[in-house]
Formats: sequence, C-alpha cells, structure tokens
Amino acid sequence: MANYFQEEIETASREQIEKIQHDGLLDVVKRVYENVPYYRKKMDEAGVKPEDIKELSDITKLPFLTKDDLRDAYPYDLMALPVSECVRIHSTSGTTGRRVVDFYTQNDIDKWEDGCARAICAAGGTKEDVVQVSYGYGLFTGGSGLNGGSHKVGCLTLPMSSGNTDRQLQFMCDFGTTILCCTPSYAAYLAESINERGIKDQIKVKAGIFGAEAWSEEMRHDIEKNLGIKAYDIYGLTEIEGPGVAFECEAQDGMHICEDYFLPEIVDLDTLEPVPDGQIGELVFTSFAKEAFPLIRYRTKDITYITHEKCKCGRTHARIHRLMGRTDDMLIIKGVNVYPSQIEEVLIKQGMPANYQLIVDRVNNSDTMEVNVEMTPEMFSDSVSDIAAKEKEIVAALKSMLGIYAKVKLVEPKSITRSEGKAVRIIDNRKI
Amino acid sequence: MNINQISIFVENKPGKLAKLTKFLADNQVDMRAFEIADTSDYGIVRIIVDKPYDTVTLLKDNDWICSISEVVGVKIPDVAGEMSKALAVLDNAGISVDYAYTFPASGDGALMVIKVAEVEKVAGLFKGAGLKVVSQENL
Repeated sequence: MANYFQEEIETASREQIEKIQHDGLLDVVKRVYENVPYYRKKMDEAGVKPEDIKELSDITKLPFLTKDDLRDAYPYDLMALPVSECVRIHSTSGTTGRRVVDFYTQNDIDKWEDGCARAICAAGGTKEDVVQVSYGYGLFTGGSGLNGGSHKVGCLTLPMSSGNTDRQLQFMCDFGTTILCCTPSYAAYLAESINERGIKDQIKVKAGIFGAEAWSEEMRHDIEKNLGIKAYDIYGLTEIEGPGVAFECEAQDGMHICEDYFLPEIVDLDTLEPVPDGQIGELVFTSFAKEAFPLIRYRTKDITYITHEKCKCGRTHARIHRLMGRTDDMLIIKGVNVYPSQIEEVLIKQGMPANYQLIVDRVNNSDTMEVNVEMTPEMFSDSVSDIAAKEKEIVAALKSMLGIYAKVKLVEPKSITRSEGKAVRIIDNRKI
Repeated sequence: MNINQISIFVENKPGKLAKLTKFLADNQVDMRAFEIADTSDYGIVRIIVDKPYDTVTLLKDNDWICSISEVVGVKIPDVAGEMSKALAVLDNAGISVDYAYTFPASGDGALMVIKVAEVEKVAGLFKGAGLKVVSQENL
C-alpha cells in the first residue's frame, strides 16, 4: 500500500491534472504580462500576447527563460508581487556566476513544503519517523525545504545542516534517525565513516532522500548496500523553489513531478523543440502556481527524459528519469559528449569506488582525458601485471561507454578530496 | 618455514616513499629488506620485517593498501657461481620465477628472496639440492 501525503491530488486523473495545468498556465501568463515588465518585454519581442495562450500546447509560443535572464533581472525584475507580499528569499551559491534569488510568499512556502512532505511519504515516511536533515540550511534551499516537509508529515526533525560528520553520526545514533536527507556524495561518505567506526549496529536509518547533485543507479546500489537502506532520489532547483519539485516513490522508477504546481517540458538539446516521452532532452519548467516568482519555460540545463505513464505506486504525476547530466556539465572531449555520470557508472560496475577525478587537458592540439581512481584493497595485488590487467579492463570499459580513450591512473586511498557538499569531479586544464 | 613479505601500494609522487618509511620508523618497524617494483604512475614497495602480521594490521588501519604474501628465502654464499647454482635448481624443475631480489644476510653472503607460485615445493627443492632455506623466524 503506497504511502501518500495528499492522495487525492497525487493520484488525480490525467484530465484533472491537465485541467489544473491549463488554468494555471493561462493565469500565470496573464499575471506576468500585467505585472512584470521584464516578461512583458520578452513576450512583446516574441510577438505573443496572453490571449494567444488558449491550450496547454500553446506554451511553445512563449519564449524560454534562462539563467542569464535571472541574472539580468537580479534582484527584483522578475517578481510578480511586491516585496511586501513576500516572506522569504533563497539563493544559489553563485559559484558559476552572479547569484540567482527566488522569492516566496507564505503560500509558495506551503506548496513547496507540501512537495517535500510528499517526497518523505513516498519514501515511506510517517509521523513515527525521525528525519535527519543534513542538507545545508540558510540561503541554500535543501535544509529549509526538507525541514518544512518533515514538519508537515509530523516527523521528529533533526535540523543538522551539512558537515561536522562526528556530530551527524552521534545524533544519528542517539536519536535513532530513520530517514536521512543529504547529498548522495555525503551519504556515501557517511556510510564509509559508519563502517569505519564499526557503528552500523547502532544505526536505524531505513531510507535516504538524496538530491542536489546528479548520481547514478550504481551509486544508489552502493549506498543502499553499505547503509542497508532504500535510497530515494529527489529533484529541485532554487530558481523553481528548491527540493521537492520531483521525487521518487517506492517503485524507484523515475521522480514524480508535482504536476499540480509545475508544468514540465523536455526539449531537444539542439533545436529546443519539444520531444516525445522517452526521448532525452533538456528539462524545462513553468512554475505556474508560484505567486511571488513564477518562471515561464525556464531552461534548467538538466538532461533527462519524461514519462506520463501511471506508476506502480498509483501516482499519476509524470516522472522524470534520474538526471543524466547537465548541459553545462557535459564535456566535449575529442568531439565526443562526455557526462561525468557515465564515468561513475563504469567505475562502480568495475567494483571501484565512485570517488574519482576527471582531468582533461590538451596536448599538441589533441584532448587528453585522465581518470584518477582510488586503489582498493580488493584490486591491489603484489603483482604489477595483475594490476595492469585490471587497469586495462577499466580503460576498455570506459572506451566502450564513451567511445574515446581515457588513461586510468590509480591513486592512494582518500587522496581524492571527499566532499561534504557538491562533489568537484572535473578539472579541465584546456586553454581554449 | 618461509618468509612473509608485505607489498604496499605507493603513488609515484615526490615524498610518498619518505612518508611510508617515516610511518614505519615512527612505529618501530624493523625492516630487513626493501625493494620497489615501479610503473610510471605507482610502485609496489615490498618489505620484509620482523613482525609481518602486526605491521600489515598497522598499515591497513592507517589506510595503506597492502597485502602479505609468502616468498622463499635462500642463502647465497659469497662465492662466484652460487646464485647461478640456486637458479639452476628452479630451471631444472621447470619453475618460473615471478620476481627475485637479494639483500645482505646476517653473517656472510646474501639472502635471495624469490616469488614463485609454489612456495613449499621450491623450498623443498632447494633443501634437496643442499641449499639453506631461511624462514621468517631465523631471518
């Protein structure tokens, strides 16, 4: 029996969902055209008026919005309501450029927290659970989002924030955490620390809700095995609201988008034309239910595909496949598209740790790729030729996945920096 | 009967070898022999120590990647032709050697350490040929 937070809407018919989206789209287009000069200008330039949007499919007449728009409009130019109506802001880290902020009314926060509460219930959570939130709190959305969701479900919430592994593990043991929320790389790190300290018998965690960075199916199996839990993916982005935009259910077969708040599209990576279900492209969102900071056709740069088929869990909301990378994470090496997640997949299949570093350089006008991988006790042998044979196997597996040669370099354990936040996996030394 | 050799993974980077030897020194490990097999990116350091099992546990607890393996130690007197004599025993029996190295033996001559697949068989062959096989206890 599936565990829902809002069963009626989560299992609504496709007609009901499309009705909500249709009304929401018409409403939001009208709202932004009337109240947001930045949007009106964009729409006027594209030659589209609110009355041109009659059907859901008319959405393609509207111009896309990108992160550059959000930076240009910083701080207030995309707001659909005056600041006096807002109760909070969140912000991106700003590491890849100017900060992007999102504004929330109390209603926006309520809906966001509902999304997170749906995610917790989809992971089997009830009021009996103890939820440890080890995402960062503050301007980052991860901590507050799951914190609010956990309150709504009625769980005892441990607002740990990120980092301080000793304290994380102590609270996990002392208060019997049953659901852990953090980034997958931090979950892998915690699992490693737990096994190192031999305290696994004191850990009661049964489920993890992991997001904020791309991770592979293999990494999921690794974490599930090492911690003895079920690991659920969660998706979100600050620009749209934060975590809880989409989340996995017990079927672990794609993340359900809260389609009563967001209208998703997948567009072709080159032509930006919508693609059918099952076809890979860039994820685009229209956050029609947002009051303070609605975005229309926002290009997330996340690469995935979508399905509208009803899920085994009974939920009818469309599912996106786990993220396959980001359009800006994608490296072009020797003219080939390389996603870090592909390398991770190969390594884990080869029984290696997912902790790797990819170093790209250009020598004599030709790209070189080197993958640094940490040596494991299982792979180590007294014989150089045995190790070389294993190295060759990894090189061959990478070649078959990527289509290009990558040198594999074995490094000492723990020499690749472990992250407590988002992992830095790529060092691109090419001067182009 | 034989010698327990420890093999340790070390990256090919300045200071890595010194870090290992300092670690062993800080823990009062008495090393009898030290040898490196190197590739362009990493090396396998092979050592023979007084307390191999304690040392391997210590290394593993401190995140060194290492393993222990049995090797044959055979005494080579300081006389021309003695090494050839020992290796001829293996040649005659059709046994291939993975690797070998020597270090000064206590007393006179050298100790040759040989890595082979069948350690017991080789030790027996050496003894049968009148050579002195050295075990971990009487290093």
